[in-house]
Amino acid sequence: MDKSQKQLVDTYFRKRGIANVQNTSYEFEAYEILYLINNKIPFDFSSLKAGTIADILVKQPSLVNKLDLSKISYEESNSFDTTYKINYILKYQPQLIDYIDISGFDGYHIADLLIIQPLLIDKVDLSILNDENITDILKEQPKLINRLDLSILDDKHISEILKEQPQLAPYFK
Amino acid sequence: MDERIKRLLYLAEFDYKKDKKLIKENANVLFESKQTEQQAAAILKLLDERTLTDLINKFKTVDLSKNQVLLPLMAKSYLEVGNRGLNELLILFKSVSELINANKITTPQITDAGYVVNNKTFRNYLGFAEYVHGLEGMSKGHAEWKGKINTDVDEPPIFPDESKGDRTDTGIEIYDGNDVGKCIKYSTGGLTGKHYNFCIGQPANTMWQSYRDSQVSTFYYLIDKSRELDNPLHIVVIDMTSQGVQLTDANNATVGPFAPHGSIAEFGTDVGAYMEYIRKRGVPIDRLINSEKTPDEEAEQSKLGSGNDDLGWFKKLSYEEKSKYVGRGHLLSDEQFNYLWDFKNDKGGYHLLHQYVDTGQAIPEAQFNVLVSD
Repeated sequence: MDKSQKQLVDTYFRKRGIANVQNTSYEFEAYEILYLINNKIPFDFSSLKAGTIADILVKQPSLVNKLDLSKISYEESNSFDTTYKINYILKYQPQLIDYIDISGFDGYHIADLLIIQPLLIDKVDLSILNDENITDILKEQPKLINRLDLSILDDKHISEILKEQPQLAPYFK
Repeated sequence: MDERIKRLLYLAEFDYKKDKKLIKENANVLFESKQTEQQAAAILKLLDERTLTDLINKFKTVDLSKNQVLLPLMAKSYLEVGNRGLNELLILFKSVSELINANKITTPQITDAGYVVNNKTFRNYLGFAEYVHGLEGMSKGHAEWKGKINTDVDEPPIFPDESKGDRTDTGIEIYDGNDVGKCIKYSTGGLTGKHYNFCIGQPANTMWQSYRDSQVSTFYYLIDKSRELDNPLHIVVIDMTSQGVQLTDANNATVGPFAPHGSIAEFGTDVGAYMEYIRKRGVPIDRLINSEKTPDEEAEQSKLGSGNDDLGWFKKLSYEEKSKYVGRGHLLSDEQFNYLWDFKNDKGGYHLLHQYVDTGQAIPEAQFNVLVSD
């Protein structure tokens, strides 16, 4: 880094720091935080919001122990927003399932998760899935057919699945 | 030319009793210039002698560099552009030699990879020419602009103004906010090191113009240094609207003709009391005036008011317009950013990039990666 570049970087972080402290809409982005961490520049992790935590985990999952994961824990009041963030993390870093609490997930949330990350089938409670959840999953992830309870599906749901995945017909005979 | 000729020249000059060092330098210049001329001729060996001589003479008239080191490079470039591009080539290399003499660029070289200058490599003449013209624009634009505004030093306050005999011990400073770029700078730490939520001062805001359009707002930033930074009246935006004075304190609380139900710290709804307070502190409040919109202002808003990602459009802006565009807090496209980044070691390019990273807003990830790259 030459002198000009160093001055530009210094100015950038100085002003970002000021803005971040005094205006919530100027929160640090994940890529900025990763730069600070990787360059051993002190940073207060407690100020991070859920969305940024999710972005950081996707980019650098090894930081999982440094971040406050309670900010992305599931609650009724933030269900949509939080499940979206959790699913986003697990799509790219499925191994983090052991650190993230999904005990509050209902059948719809589990279906969404399996659609984007079928590798997690052994980590979720399949018993709470209803006919609609199973239909949604199979329409997108036909390879999971042997793991789901097909007995609860009626003709309407089966025909919906076969419309998208006709190769599954033998399973419903 | 060989060492014997060099020695003859040396002796000839010596007869005139000139300074030895100067004589030696002159002999070297003559010797080396001739060398570069021969190199250029070798590159253009397929041309007939008359055309070659004519061409080399043209090259020599524009190569103002020491020892005319650009002659071989011009010859190589000529092979790329031919007669059709000759005039442009001559203009370009005149600029190159001026930039070399002003220490703005290193002497360009041609390698197998292409044209190399300032540690950058351009595969062909066009890329090289574009870079040189860009650098020239930055450099000259910045120099011309500096004649009007000193970009190395912040603009002085309108109060106190020593030339008007103002007292300097009042603890109050007032800056005009007659440009959205200034308001962004002042609201993002430019005056106190603090960031404020004033909507007229957020990067890429449209509110500054909306207020100008709807209430002929004329903004002034008042800094009261007698108050701590946690006191809401340590900074007050005074807006001399068409309908009267409107005040906004550091908490972004506003009162005035367009916010009749608002209230600021200490003075509540009493705008007059606050103005009387600063008058008693020594502020000549008659200097705070409402300014009508001007046609230039309208034209500038129409050109620079909205973001435009196009690199060609950005390049065509004058230096001053580029600075105003960046100062308005628009996020640059990656192409525009990379274009400026090539000039970061030039004063003009550096100033624009500094403006860009000075607003407190996050720049896009791709640009951030360039900013912090090793």
